[in-house]
Amino acid sequence: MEPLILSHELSKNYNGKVCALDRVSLEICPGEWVAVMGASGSGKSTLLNMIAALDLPTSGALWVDGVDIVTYTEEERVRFRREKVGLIFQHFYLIPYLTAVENVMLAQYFHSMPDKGEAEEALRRVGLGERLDSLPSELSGGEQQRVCIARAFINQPKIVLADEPTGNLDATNEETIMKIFHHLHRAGHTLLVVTHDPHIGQQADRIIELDHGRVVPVVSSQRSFLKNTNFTLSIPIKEKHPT
Amino acid sequence: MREMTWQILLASLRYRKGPIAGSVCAVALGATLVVAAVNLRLGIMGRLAGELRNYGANLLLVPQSGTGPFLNETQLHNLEDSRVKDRLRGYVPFLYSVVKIRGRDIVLGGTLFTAAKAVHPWWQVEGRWPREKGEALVGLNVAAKLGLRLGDPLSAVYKSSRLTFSVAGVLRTGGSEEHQVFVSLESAQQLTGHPGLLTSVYVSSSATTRLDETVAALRKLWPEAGVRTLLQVAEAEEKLLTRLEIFLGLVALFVLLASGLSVFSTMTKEALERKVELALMRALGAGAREVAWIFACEAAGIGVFGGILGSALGVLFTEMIGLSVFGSLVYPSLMSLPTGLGIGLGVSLFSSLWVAKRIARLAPAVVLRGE
Ligand SMILES: Nc1ncnc2c1ncn2[C@@H]1O[C@H](COP(=O)(O)OP(=O)(O)O)[C@@H](O)[C@H]1O
Ligand SMILES: [Mg+2]
Repeated sequence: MEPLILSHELSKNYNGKVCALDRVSLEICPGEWVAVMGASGSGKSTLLNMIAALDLPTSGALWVDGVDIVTYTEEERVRFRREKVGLIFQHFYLIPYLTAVENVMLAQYFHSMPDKGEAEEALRRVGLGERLDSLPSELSGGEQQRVCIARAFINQPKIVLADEPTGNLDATNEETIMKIFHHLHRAGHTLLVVTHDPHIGQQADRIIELDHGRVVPVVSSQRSFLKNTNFTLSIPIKEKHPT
Repeated sequence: MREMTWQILLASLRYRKGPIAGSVCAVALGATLVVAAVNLRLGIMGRLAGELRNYGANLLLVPQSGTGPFLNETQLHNLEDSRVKDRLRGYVPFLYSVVKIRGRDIVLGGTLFTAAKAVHPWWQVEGRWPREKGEALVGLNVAAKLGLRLGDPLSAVYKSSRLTFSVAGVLRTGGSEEHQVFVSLESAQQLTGHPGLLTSVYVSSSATTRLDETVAALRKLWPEAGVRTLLQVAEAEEKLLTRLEIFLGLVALFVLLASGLSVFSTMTKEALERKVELALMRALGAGAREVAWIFACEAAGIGVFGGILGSALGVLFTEMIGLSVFGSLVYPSLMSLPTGLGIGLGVSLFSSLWVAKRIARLAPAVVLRGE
């Protein structure tokens, strides 16, 4: 299958010293749910920002949906973010003076046309049908993150990138969020979820582990699993790609 | 689409009432003082010049040297010519001669009393202004010296002719006129045997015109008359007005700078507090231009509100000055609102675009890292 995301020797140096990413090569197929794991500072967020075209690599190539986004101009990267990517952050970034539904509509506004009905439907699907007109300050952390998820999916992006989406949530809320992810995954969305919680990582199709900016090679005992797959640099956990 | 823009703007304005109100006030302050300065310049300066001009004539017409001791009364029509008429507030002709009154040499001036009253509004008359040919206005000093009182008869002798007048009023001017006696022009011409002749004409030029141009126009129209500027008044007047103008300009400039800085710092602080919000918008796919547009709209709102408020306060401020200095209201300039709006929009847009530019340079990835 044609990979949706393909990186080749992607590197990122900050200030010419800190090597946040070190020649990372990976492939992610459409519909896959991939967990990115690793210690703090291992380069997980940096990788996510590259794929979201929020940041530029120092060297290497990164194809998303068949195009090398490293060569994009600033304007093209803006368009790319708006059309191809949905972003979820650890800190539930919402505009504080807009209601839940308006926050979702904001993503539609930048993308094309705000559609209130559609935005409300998206919030209902994450269980916030009763909180449509609440301001972020009136919502719990878990509810705020669910608004962010609804916002990330509202424009039907090719990829959803989540950076420690449950990092600031308790177990109950974490479970709710994970249920939503499973649901979205079943619906065919491509998910890239950064986490350092193994429990969350294990729910993904496979895990990419980073260490000091490098992809950790697959452990030899697990090699046998990989014989029939394209993925040489990752650990498949379960085989369930929609084809 | 448009609706959403408004929705965002209004919600944002409502949410940040405090800082917005601060910016509006800073903009309004700048606009107030500039509008006041403009109104003072346009309204009060004209009035001030007029008031200064009320201190009397500022031009004197006398016979050109080499043309004899007199001007011809019939030539006064030159001053009614359309080329100078609008430049003049008024003029008053005089025929001066020295006559004997009660045995003393006294300067007698023949004049047109209505004109004298208009050109010298500060002349104070005890009793009343003469109305008939046989009445005289006696300087305070002369009245005291000769023991003349209202209604007393007064004979003036010139060479072999004599005319008798009655004292209608006593004149107080604070100047040399208090040593003189004034009668009607016709009587003076008759007494001295110089019918139709004048020794001088006092001219008061209008406040809104340039003195040197008026002088040139007069010289051209009436070549037999020499034009002299009464320097004390005219020059002091122009110097004072220029100084006031410079002072007002400087005040307006400094206030504008101060208000600009204040708006600027409010907006910068705001923007740094909102950088997460702006980074988020950019992560959601808003271009730097769209973010700048939202900023500019907010700034325009602040500018319009501040500008209107400032215009109103500026006019109010001008009226207060008008009332305290002249004891009357000043007609506010039509430029007040455009000036206020211009200043308001200028100051707020300039600072907001500056700030938006700085924000746009922050990488959203760095801001949203949020550690
Ligand atoms: N903007 C930046 N400037 C300098 N160093 C940075 C910047 N962003 C990240 N780093 C460094 O790059 C490394 C990887 O960071 P990051 O991708 O955030 O790690 P993780 O998300 O896995 O915790 C860290 O050492 C971090 O300090
Ligand atoms: Mg991170």
